[in-house]
Amino acid sequence: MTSRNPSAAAPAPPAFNPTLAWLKWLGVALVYAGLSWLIHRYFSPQGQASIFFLASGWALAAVLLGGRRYVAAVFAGALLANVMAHVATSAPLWSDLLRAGGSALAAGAGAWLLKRSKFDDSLASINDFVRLVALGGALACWVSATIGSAGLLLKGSIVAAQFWTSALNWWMGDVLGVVLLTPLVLLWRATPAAPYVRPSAKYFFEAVLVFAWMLLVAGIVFVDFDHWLFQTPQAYLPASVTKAYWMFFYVAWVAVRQGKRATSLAVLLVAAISVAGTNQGIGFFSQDGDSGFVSYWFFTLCLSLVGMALATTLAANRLALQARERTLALFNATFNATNEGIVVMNDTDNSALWNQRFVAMWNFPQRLIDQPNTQLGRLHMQSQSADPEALARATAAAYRDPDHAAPELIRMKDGRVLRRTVQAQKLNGQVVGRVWSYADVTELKQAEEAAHAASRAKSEFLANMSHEIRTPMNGVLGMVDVLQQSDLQPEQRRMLGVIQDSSVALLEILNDILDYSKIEAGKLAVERIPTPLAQLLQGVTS
Amino acid sequence: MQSSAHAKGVDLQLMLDPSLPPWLLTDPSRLRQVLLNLLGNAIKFNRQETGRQPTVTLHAAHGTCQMARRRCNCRWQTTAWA
Repeated sequence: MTSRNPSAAAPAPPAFNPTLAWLKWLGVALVYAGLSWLIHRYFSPQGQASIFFLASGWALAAVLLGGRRYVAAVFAGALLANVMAHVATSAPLWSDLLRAGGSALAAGAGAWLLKRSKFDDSLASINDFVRLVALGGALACWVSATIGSAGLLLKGSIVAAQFWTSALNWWMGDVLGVVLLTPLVLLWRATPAAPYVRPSAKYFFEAVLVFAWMLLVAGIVFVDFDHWLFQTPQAYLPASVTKAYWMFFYVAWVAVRQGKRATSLAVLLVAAISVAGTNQGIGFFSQDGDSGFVSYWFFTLCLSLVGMALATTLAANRLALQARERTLALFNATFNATNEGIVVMNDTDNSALWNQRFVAMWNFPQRLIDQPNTQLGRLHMQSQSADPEALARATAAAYRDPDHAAPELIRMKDGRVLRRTVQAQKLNGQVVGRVWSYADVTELKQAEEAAHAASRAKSEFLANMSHEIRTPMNGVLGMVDVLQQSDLQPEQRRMLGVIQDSSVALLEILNDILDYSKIEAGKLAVERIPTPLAQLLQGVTS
Repeated sequence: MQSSAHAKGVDLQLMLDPSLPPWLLTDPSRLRQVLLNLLGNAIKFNRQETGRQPTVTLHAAHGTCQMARRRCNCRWQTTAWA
């Protein structure tokens, strides 16, 4: 199969290369035939269907990853393997065609079922592994088992009474092939999910150690390796010690420490060693009746299910944890990058979270950051403010009223001005915590005060000016009055009238400006004395 | 104020609600200032139309201040029509 380069940046769709496609197709067929031949030659008792038929797993993986065109490759490979096996016995070609068709059909059916069930071929979670075993293994393998056994029946190799025994045996071999080899191909072919972290030397060292230890124990348990090792005619270790269940220990170790790729390899290696021993009538399973194969089958299936379930679950958890860590890192970066000082208090009124800006804003000493203490923290904050009493009162008020949300200004000892906003976090109406945020509004406040000062200066100037003009104005009016008493020409009297009217109007404007200045300075006194209403109104309208 | 009304040819009238109290607790100079401004504007911006005598009426009555939404002792209204 193709292997992807993990360092390749963007997976550009490769141009279709017909030669390469045919070579791949041929490769799939040859690997199928090779595996099939290898299994029959070395891993199955003479003349029996193999309980360890890895070729079915290869076929399913090929069709899953490469698509429908590999169904034909599986067919070709199976036909080649069958013909090769029967060259000496000169079995009819049609029975070989039937068996090859059954194998190809099983792989196609398994892949089709899995594709329909939203199967993720990187075995991202335990669900994917369970689907693979149930649909691609248990269900689809009935196709090859029944067709293959029907071929045997027609050929006359078995009688009708043996049909279901033969089909079951066939099914068991194919299922084990799918359970053992398909995950291995799927996992080792796919690049690990991002972010890809190159395993450390320590990881490799541990993996090599565990695998070596596991293979040694598997050798002792399944192929009587201790006989050869210690050159003893009898088993060196007692049979009560050399038990197959040791394998669960190693597979679980690999699943927890080395991940799902290594687990799929470990399970396959143990299965291969144990089937080799069982074939030769030695090792753990040879002690069981029924030539040990049924017992072997259940053991290997359990081992694979336990190991892969553990590995896929842990891998999914690890990925989820990494995603959460990334989200948390992003949140922390945002939280500390904001210009507001934020502290989050939980329901027991302890500080659950605070950002760097908050610490810097309030000049928190290191000992209060290392050992947060709400009481001491509050006292420290009060000591930093210009009016500790007011801050304590405002804080108490915010605690009394859960809906308190209005921002308040805090003046600091060093002249800064902070604007505080508090937001109570509620859960089912209960306050479960509070978020206090502080913004430095010193510059804003200074600009506001400067604007106020400028406005005040303008008003004062206007008031002073009006006052200064009013004095000479009274002189003008007084003299106009005096002048009116004197002997004047009618034309002069008219002109004097205009001067008087204009002067009175000007004086009124000046008085209004003075009143306006008084209002702005808050110095306008409004009296409250008994007033005769009718008299006043008549005076106005007269 | 009568003189400036007369100068513009406006008839200035006072309507005093009989139910009003004879005395009020207030600042007489400020009240006078406010009323004079109101009347001055009413006279100044009176629209002249031919054929009818333009009139400005100062109407003092009990009322409710709409803006403050509470009862007040006196309501001032100047109406001006041609």
